[in-house]
Amino acid sequence: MARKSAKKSTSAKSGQESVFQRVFGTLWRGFLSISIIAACIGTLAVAGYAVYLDRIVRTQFEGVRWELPAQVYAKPLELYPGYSFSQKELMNELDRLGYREDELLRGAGAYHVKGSAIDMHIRGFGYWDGEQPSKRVRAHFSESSVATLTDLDSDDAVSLLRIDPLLIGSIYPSHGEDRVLVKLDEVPSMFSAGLILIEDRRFLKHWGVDPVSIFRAFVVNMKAGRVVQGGSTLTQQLVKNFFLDNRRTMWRKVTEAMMAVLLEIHYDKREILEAYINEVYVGQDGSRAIHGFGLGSYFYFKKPLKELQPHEIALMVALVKGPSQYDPRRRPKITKQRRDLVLDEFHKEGFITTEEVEEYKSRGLGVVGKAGSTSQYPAFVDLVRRQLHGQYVDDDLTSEGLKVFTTLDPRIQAQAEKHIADGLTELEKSRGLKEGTLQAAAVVTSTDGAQVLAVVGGRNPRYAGFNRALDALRPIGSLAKPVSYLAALRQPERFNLLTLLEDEELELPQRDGSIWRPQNYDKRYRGEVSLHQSLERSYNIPTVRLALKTGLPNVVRTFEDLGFKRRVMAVPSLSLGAIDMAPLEVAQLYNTLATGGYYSPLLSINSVTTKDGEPLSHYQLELKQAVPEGPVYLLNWALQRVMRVGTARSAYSQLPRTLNTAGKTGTTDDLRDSWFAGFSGSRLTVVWLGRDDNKPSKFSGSQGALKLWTRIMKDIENDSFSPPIPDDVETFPFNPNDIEHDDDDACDDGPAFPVPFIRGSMPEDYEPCDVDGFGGSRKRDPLDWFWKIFR
Amino acid sequence: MINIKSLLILFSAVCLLAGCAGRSAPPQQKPVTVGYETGSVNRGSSAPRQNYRFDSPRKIEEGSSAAVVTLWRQYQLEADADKTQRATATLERALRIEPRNPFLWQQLAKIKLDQEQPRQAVAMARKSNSLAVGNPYVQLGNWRIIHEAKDQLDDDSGADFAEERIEFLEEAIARKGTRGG
Repeated sequence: MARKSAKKSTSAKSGQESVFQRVFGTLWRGFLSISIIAACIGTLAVAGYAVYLDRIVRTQFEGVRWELPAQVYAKPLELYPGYSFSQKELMNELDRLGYREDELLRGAGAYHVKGSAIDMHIRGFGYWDGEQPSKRVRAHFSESSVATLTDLDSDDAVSLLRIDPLLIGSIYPSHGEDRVLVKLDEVPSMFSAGLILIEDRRFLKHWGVDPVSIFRAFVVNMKAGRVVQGGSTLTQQLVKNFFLDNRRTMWRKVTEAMMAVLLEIHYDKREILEAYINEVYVGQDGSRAIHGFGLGSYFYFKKPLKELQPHEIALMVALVKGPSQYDPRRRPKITKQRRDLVLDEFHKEGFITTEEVEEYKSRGLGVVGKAGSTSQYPAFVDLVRRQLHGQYVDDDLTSEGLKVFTTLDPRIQAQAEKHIADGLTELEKSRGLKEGTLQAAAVVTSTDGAQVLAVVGGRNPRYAGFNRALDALRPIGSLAKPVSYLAALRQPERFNLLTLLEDEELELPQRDGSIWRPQNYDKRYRGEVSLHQSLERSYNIPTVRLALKTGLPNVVRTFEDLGFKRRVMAVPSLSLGAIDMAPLEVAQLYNTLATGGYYSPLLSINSVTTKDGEPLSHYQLELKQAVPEGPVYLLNWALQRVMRVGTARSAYSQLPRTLNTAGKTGTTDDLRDSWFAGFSGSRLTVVWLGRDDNKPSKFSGSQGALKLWTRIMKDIENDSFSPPIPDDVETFPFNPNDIEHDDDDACDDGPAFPVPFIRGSMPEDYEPCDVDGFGGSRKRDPLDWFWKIFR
Repeated sequence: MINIKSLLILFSAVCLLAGCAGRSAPPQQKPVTVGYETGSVNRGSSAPRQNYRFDSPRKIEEGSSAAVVTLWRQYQLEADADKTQRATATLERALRIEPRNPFLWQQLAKIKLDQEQPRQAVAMARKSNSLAVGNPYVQLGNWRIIHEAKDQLDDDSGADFAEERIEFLEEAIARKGTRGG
């Protein structure tokens, strides 16, 4: 029984076992099947994911790898024998361009001062009209101009030398990524080797992921108890920057590793390294993210990557670990420690000798200027961007790497910026105003070339905010007066410079029933004044009367002819400046006056090329004779007198008296806006001064804007204003202070000056002074009877 | 009427050539409206009132800096190779160095004429004239451009006026030439 029972028990046990085995077997098989199926599905999914990643890697890497912002360049400096440009000015220019002092001129971007000469190794550059190769030239100076230029290799005389232009900014996309593309061939070999040495020693050996580095980093981090070393290869860093976000998840790490391997399968190490050099984030400039060492080199050292010295290369390589942590401008001490560490590594690897490493470590960081702006010249680049928008779509501007050659003259821009900032501080002090109360804007143009040479958008020229030069629409006050006078002088049968204007109380009923009573600035009435005196002294009442006599539609038309594009209201107060304009609009208006009545749209761009130098657009000079030369000549005669004897005469306390200029002051109600617009024979400058809150600035045009204008014009290169006398203009000697003109005894009251008239328009009752050669001894003209026949 | 006009032209020319116009010439007619509303120049007489200097530069090489002459030669090479855009850019580069060089403005006017932009051509030729006061050679070239441009614009009176200026200047230059000047 027991046996039976045992047998039974054995058989029951074996039955249980077989059930268990069957169940287990079934489960196991099921598990295996599921596992196999899952593995298959997993493999398929991974494979599918890999295929998906592979497509992303190849598409993005082979297509447009980066959005390349348009690079904006200043006007290149042209040197030639006889050019009025001092040795010091050239040294400043070369420093601005990041040229280094090197007696042996090793490599482009070097110069050496030798007595009255400067030897230069000029950089090669791709201009709109073709590539200009690198060149070694000696410039000899005599006093303050270039005497000779000599090619140092051939010893030939050079008649014209163009120096590579300053990169002044870029037009980058809204997400703020900015970069300058470099090719691996342009990268110094020490840079590539150094980068690999510090960031990924085994770069040339691994397949995108480096288990050795990962293990080493794991051990180091475990020992330290925190993350002190990363195991990512350069390829993984590139993948992270190029394709992925910054989330630290396991899945992202897996994706990063897969993509790194895929990248290595498809592309060689040179391509990957070049991509890394162009992609890596190296700094921040306001909202602008500095990507790639190409731009980084300009950002920190103001020169191309290929010209970096070993200690500068070491700094760039050192930055990669953490551009915020090792910001050389904000944290120079800690950054120098890291740079020296990198230099030590360079030495250990034999890149530099023991003497060199000590010498380089003794040097400062050598980083230029201050960051904190979005561009060096935001106000000017803003103008460039607006002029480009009509022709190029945003995407092209921010992603195609276009090269934009502009008209900005960095020397004039620097002077304008300096004098606006310093001048405002002085003016504030003179009136006991808190520093920062006043604002100002300025525009400088080359008159005949119609080029915008400088734009200052406010007292902090690096601030890329409100651009007052383009957007501050303010009443222009008496700057509008010359337009009314020009409209009048276009009617020579009615008006000339000596025409008498009534200066008596004036009441003008308005459409709303109110009465407008314009007043002179000094609240006085003078009975009668001559037309030119009224302009010189900026009298209001005679101006309004003149505009009304001339016809307001004629005044409006003259505004339009001079180049003002917006609608002008034909109201009497227009003649006193009841019209809002931005400084750039005023510059356009006055530029037409400065060129004798020839209107050219002001240009800020000369040409645009593709990133490879293929010409895309050339902005040709356009010209239109907007106003006849004669009346403009007459007006400019009066505007020159504004400078010599009128409201702007204080300018000559600083300007050389040999420099002829013409201009006009402008002041608005309650001294809110202070304006000055004036020109020499080659440059026009417009200055606005006021407050952003539109409260009174407490400065008239001559007390405020004129002071800034004078400072700027004094320090920039100018030709004297001496317009040729047009065919249809003749001059007669008068005493300009005599307002009757019908009695030549009045000539005894003061010196006679040649007063221009439109030919044949001098009224018969005028008696010119009998002066031989205007200012010589007075004597009767023996042919007087003869001339009178023809009058 | 024609005779009086011709006499006036001749008289003016003789005065000018003989240096009688040493001081600014006096008014020769009663005050009249001189057509400014249409933007044209004084048409009271076709004879320009200028003191012409017959030793003025005839070619750009004679009156320009070496830098501009270098660019001028580059311009000519580019123009000969039909690289019109590049040639124009070179000329404008020269103009940035010497913005008041009448030869450069004249050449730009010629380019505009070739590009069938007669209004631009007239404006640039006039600008060149205004910078070449006293230079009969440059002005003659400019009036020829203006004449052709006015023809393109079907502006008969403008073309006639230009033709009068051309005849006057050609005659003045020829007279000077026969005097050995």
